Amino acid sequence: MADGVGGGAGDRVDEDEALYRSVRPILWKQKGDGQFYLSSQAFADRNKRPSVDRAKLCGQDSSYTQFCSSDYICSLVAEDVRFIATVVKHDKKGVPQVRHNIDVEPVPLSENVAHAEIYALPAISGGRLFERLLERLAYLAQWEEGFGPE
Amino acid sequence: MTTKLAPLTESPKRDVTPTMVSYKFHAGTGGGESASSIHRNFRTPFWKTTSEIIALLSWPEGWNGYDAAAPNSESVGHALIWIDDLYRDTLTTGAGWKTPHVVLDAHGNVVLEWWEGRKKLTIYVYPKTVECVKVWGPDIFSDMEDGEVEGAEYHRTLWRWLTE
Repeated sequence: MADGVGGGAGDRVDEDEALYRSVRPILWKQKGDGQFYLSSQAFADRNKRPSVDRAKLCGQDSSYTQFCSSDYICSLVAEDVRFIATVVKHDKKGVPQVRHNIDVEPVPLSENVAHAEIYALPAISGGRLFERLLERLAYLAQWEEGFGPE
Repeated sequence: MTTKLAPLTESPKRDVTPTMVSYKFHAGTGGGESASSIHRNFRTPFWKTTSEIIALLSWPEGWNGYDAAAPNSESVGHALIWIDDLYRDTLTTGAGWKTPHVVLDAHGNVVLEWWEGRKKLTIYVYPKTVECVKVWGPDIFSDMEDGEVEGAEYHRTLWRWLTE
């Protein structure tokens, strides 16, 4: 997560917006069945706020998000991210304690106005909820045409 | 004679995905594996995994293009021991060895991933502990389980779940 310029104020990410994430080739695996599997670590983030780029603010140009030309690009739809409704922290007896809403907000940077971050509210702390969220995000991600491993 | 493996001091370029690593070989400096045990490891079914775990040490900070930390050497060391334990413990299951995908998490800890049909197993190897996330669908609550991985019987239980 980078320090934002005007972090989160003002603009809102629309439900139908595509969100790009750059993926190093090491983060996918092709198995014998021909399927491509995306690692859950494709969305790993030290601060539990994975960075994405808003497609509509980078001209729907997937290459905008690449750090280098060998990177792949996968995308999520904001609505699908917000629809993740089962991030619930339970106590040891399985009783629900905290329900985390998953959202995406603009965090424009001086060098990247399209920058946004996926986050949980309240923030996830402890346990393995964020690791489960990473699995869900990898499940939702789609390769951008021309920028995937196929 | 004891040996010690030490990564080269020169870091790979940040804009390339690290896939290989070279090592200086210091014979007789102590504290490492013996040459014979290293040789033996390269004959095991999981030698590819072992070499991929060692190669993680060459990944630089920011290896994913974002904010990922450099590899935690204690996690890497623990992963080398743990994968050996897992392999031995799963021998009796009759399911055979499956090679994991080897990466780091954002904090530099080793992550091992297996995909088998609808099932996905993710192992996080921390310096002192090992944790898992079992996945069989997209729902975070009803299609996933997590826990701390401890002991040979739990290794076998995980392996049977993954491979059956």
